[in-house]
Amino acid sequence: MNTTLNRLPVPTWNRLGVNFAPAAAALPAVPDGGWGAAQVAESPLPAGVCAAAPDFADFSASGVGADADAWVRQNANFVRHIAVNEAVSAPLLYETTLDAAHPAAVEYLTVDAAAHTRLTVVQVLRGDAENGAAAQLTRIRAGQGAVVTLVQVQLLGSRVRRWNAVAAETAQGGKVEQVRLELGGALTVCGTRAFLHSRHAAYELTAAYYGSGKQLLDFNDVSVHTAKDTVCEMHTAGVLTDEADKILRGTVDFQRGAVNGIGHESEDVLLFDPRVRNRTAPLILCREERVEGQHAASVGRLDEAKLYYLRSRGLSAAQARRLMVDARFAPAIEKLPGEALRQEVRHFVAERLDAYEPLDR
Amino acid sequence: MNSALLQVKDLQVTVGEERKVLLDGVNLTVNPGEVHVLMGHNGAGKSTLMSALMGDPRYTVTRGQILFRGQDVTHEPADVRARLGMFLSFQTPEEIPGITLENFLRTAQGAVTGQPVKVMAFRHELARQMQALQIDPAYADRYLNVGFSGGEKKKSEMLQLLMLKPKLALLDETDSGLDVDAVKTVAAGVRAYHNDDNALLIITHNAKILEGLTVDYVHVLDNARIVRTGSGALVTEILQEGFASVKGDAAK
Repeated sequence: MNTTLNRLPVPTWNRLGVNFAPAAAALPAVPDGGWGAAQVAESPLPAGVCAAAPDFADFSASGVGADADAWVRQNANFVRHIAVNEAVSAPLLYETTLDAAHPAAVEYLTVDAAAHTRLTVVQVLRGDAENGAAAQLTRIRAGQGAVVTLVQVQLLGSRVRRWNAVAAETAQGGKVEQVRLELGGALTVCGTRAFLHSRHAAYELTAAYYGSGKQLLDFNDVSVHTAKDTVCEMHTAGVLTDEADKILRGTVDFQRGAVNGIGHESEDVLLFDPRVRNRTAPLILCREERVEGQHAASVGRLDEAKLYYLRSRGLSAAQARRLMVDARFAPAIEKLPGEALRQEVRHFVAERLDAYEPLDR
Repeated sequence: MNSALLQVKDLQVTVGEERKVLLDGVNLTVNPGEVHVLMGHNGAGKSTLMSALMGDPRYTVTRGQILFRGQDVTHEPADVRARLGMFLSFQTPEEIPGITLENFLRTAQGAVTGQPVKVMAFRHELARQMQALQIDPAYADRYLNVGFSGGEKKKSEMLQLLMLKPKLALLDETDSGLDVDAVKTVAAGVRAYHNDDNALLIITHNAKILEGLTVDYVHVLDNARIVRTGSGALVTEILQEGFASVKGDAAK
């Protein structure tokens, strides 16, 4: 059952262990008596946005996979379907908090943005709970010329497992922009699949992750291009400490018809600890000749020589680490709406870094 | 009352688990306002001494003491020494991706002064110092030393020296690998830095960086020890006659 999560679109050697999420990433068993209520604070719908009947029956699968999508739909304890009818400047906010009384949030959100509309949806997850579970399925339909920005900030505690499935379909000239910060939790499984089916459709992902302890992080981001002049930019920055184990799959899939398609993907990961396990599987699939696909991966270590150099300029070891992390996360943090949220994220990262105890060298 | 900036007493430095001795019985005193030059064959231990003074974790002090501004820093980490006012211009500076030169300098200045950095004043001074060192202003936004040429890295070190204003500057072959014009620029930077309150300890093989400086003492290192200490005139003697002529005299 687990093999259905975060599948690499075209499998590679099994022994690399990146074809799909490992067994530990399996979706949770539904407890007897169900989940109980989710604790979600939501901002009132602004003018131009209204509740709508879902019309996503034949919608694309998320990057996590169709089985996971179906599981969230069947088990959701928080469901919202919204329609966007005009350009809206104020962000629509969903703040989920897990605690002992609300240890699980299984959320299903659909956003149907009509042509030439604009909306920013912000999802923030906080809190901690024994055996906590936070699963989200977010489906976005961006109409012609519409721009939907999905901001996801995950600040969960170390006892919560988290699944984040996103599916997007973008019409001509439309754009889905995703900002994803996965900074906490015991398990993080994320997968976005953007389907760019019309000319000049675009998808942009700016992501950051922080893995520590024995945390497992598993990502599967896919941009599928089937029309001319479609563009995707997927850029991820990460920091791994302790014994964190991360797999990031990034796929740009130029299918037949994606003439002049452009797809760039990159990952820049900083490893603080020799016990970290870091795997990256970039994939560019081409069924058209006139396309531009690029991937770049950079792995850096804050080794003793670099640390000594920074310390020789007066920075403590903790300051040196924080400087390195801040620099990597800045592009994602700067895209967050509101200084309060940006500060909260910086503070959360700083606390996690302060808690990190490097191995004696 | 101790007025010396730096006192090194009977310093023994080893490396590795086998404790190979790289420096043995080194004594050195540097007072404010002085310029000291460290010379010697390749492998004599000059860079090791600089690194040990700065607290390089690769080396272990197995005997002796390093006092800086009256404080025993023998076993303190590099950041403590830097905050007290010590600075090492590295022979091979590290490349740090992800951190721009400006961001790094601002963070470092805040760290060594313990004060919040006033952004506008900082930027103004940074622009001024970069112009003086003939560094392209665009380098402020580039990642620290990443993709810099050898000469640009040395200028970056000099820029850090001028921005951080330490009490003691340890220059480890800052003039090596530079073209004629760049050496003059760096030498001008050294002169701009130096005053009666600070001091320099310089490793050089060609003395070009000493142009315009009054050298107070020259120390010759050989086989892990200082074998001779003399006046500034010793630089010329060594450059003309080599180390053979000066070895054998006892260090003062």
